[in-house]
Amino acid sequence: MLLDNIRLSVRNLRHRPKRSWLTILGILIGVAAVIALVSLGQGMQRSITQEFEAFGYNVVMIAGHGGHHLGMGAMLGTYDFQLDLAPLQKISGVEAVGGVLVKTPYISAGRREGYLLTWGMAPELMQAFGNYYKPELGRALNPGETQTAVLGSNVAQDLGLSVGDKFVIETLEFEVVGLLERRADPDVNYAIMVPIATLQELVGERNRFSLVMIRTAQHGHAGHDAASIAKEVRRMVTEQRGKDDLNVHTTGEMLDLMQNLVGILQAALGGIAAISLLVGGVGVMNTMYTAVLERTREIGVMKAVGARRRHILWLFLLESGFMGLIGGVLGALTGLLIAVGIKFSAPLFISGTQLEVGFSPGLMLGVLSFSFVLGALSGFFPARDAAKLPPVEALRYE
Amino acid sequence: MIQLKNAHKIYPMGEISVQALRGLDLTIKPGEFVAIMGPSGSGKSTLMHLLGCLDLPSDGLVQLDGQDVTKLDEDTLAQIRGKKIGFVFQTFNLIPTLTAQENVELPLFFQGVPRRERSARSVELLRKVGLNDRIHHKPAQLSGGERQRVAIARALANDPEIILADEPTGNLDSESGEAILKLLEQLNRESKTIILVTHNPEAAAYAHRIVRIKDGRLLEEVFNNTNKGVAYAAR
Ligand SMILES: Nc1ncnc2c1ncn2[C@@H]1O[C@H](COP(=O)(O)OP(=O)(O)OP(=O)(O)O)[C@@H](O)[C@H]1O
Ligand SMILES: [Mg+2]
Repeated sequence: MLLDNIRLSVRNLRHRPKRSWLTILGILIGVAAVIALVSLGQGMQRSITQEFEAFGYNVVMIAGHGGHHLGMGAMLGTYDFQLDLAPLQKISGVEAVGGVLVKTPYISAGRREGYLLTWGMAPELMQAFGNYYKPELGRALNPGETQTAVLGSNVAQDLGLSVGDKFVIETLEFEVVGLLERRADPDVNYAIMVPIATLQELVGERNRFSLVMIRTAQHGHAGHDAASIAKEVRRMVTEQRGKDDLNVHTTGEMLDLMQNLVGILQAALGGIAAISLLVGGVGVMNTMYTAVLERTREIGVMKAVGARRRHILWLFLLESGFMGLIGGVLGALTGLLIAVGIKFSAPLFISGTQLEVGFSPGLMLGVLSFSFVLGALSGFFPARDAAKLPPVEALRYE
Repeated sequence: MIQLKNAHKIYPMGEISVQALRGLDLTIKPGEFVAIMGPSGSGKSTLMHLLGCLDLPSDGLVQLDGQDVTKLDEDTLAQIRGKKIGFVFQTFNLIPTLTAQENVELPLFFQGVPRRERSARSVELLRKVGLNDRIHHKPAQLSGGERQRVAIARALANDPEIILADEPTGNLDSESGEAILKLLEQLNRESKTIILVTHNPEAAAYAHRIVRIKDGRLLEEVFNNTNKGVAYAAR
């Protein structure tokens, strides 16, 4: 019986193809918007999580206030600071402590030159975070070296440098010993990494850091986990500087913060997309009211030949549900295409951006059933009106 | 057997109201062929709607096979219509998106008859009304006479006891009209109760009894003796 009902509904939809397709288009646009935004949002969250995983959650960072963009670079504050790292090394549970100084000195590599982002980094640190600062070619910086460099993939390409090549920072010549694997964070892909001592000397800022990273034991014992070590670090730093002007955070806390930010962004955009879905639902309702009006006489005839209220109700509900479902299927496909399209075209507009598209079958299934329900729900009031029509009145309708 | 006792039908129209039926008594026995005649607006269609359980009287009683239908709810009435009554309308009232066969299947569908059975029954009925080569035509692809025959096949779908035909020949030329009347006559011979509303005396002549109404009241009943001769039962 349901099958026959479905056939009947499809027949009616096909009887007015233009109007059906336009109504479906309304749903399609809404679903596509939701899917595209949510997929991109999920992809973004996934790649942020991946970055942090590569970095490890057992890291405490010290930086100046005022990080201003997403990605690993967010850890950098807007100002550098002076700090003696030796006491931090003694905290129990701490495995490695090292600093990073970020500057933009004058770089020249043959005919290419300019002020470029340069990270002075303790070689020990780079090795400690070998999972994150992973050389794709060559090797990482070694302790004791002074005039070697490891380059992010983008900057290496821009400067036309590879392992073994030489280039100049201000007045000193450096040799490229490694190229880093590509990461989602453009700050890394555009980084020139040199031993921090050399950079500090070059710019005349001994003991200055933009960022200090502390790696704690992987599985912190009670009281030695990253969070409690961070607390201890905060206390010591404040004591040493005589003021509380630095941020001390664990990577876990930072991940939560960023996930929250992305989540809020996603909810806001998703909300806007949901509104367009709602408008699609209103479109279905409008079409169904028109359909009921047009087919009033037909409804009267069906009732005269024995149709009960639920027969009429189902007929119209299935019709609107179908429009929702078809709009949902096509909208989901369109949404994915849009998301993939944005993924591939975004780097053309903002170089260095890397977006991921998160495909989740659960979301798809959810959206499909939601769009069917939205269609049926939008069709409910028109269908109920149709079912309630008194047969004689419906038959007399001109 | 259908019985109307002191049936009133009032259509409220804002301030005023229209009295379509004003106390009508009528009994129709199984197997009868009754014609209902009367001027336009006299209440013939209104009467048909009551006889066919499509509508309920404002006052009075409608009994179908001894059961008072005025207390029944809409869905029960729908089921009674589907099982016991077949309607044929002046304007055919076929569903334009469905083929002839599907139109005939519709009443079976609403009674929950399985698909195979529906399909066999609808083909058989279309053959009976002489449309075996028009099974897959849409109403728009059929002539008026053919459409009305599809409508009759549809009315017969659930093998009802009673066929109600409201001016079934009103939109047809005399030849197709006659074919329809012959079909109704044949159905009556097969022991169906036929109730026919018509303006046309020639059409009414097919009936065994002619009921004349005016202003919602019974005017007279004329028995049309098939062995010629006409008996008047004036009121
Ligand atoms: N839904 C309605 N609302 C108001 N008045 C109605 C309604 N239906 C019928 N009437 C009125 O009731 C009266 C009887 O109508 P009905 O349709 O029964 O006449 P009829 O005898 O079938 O006429 P015709 O021969 O023209 O078909 C008419 O005056 C009509 O205007
Ligand atoms: Mg009439």
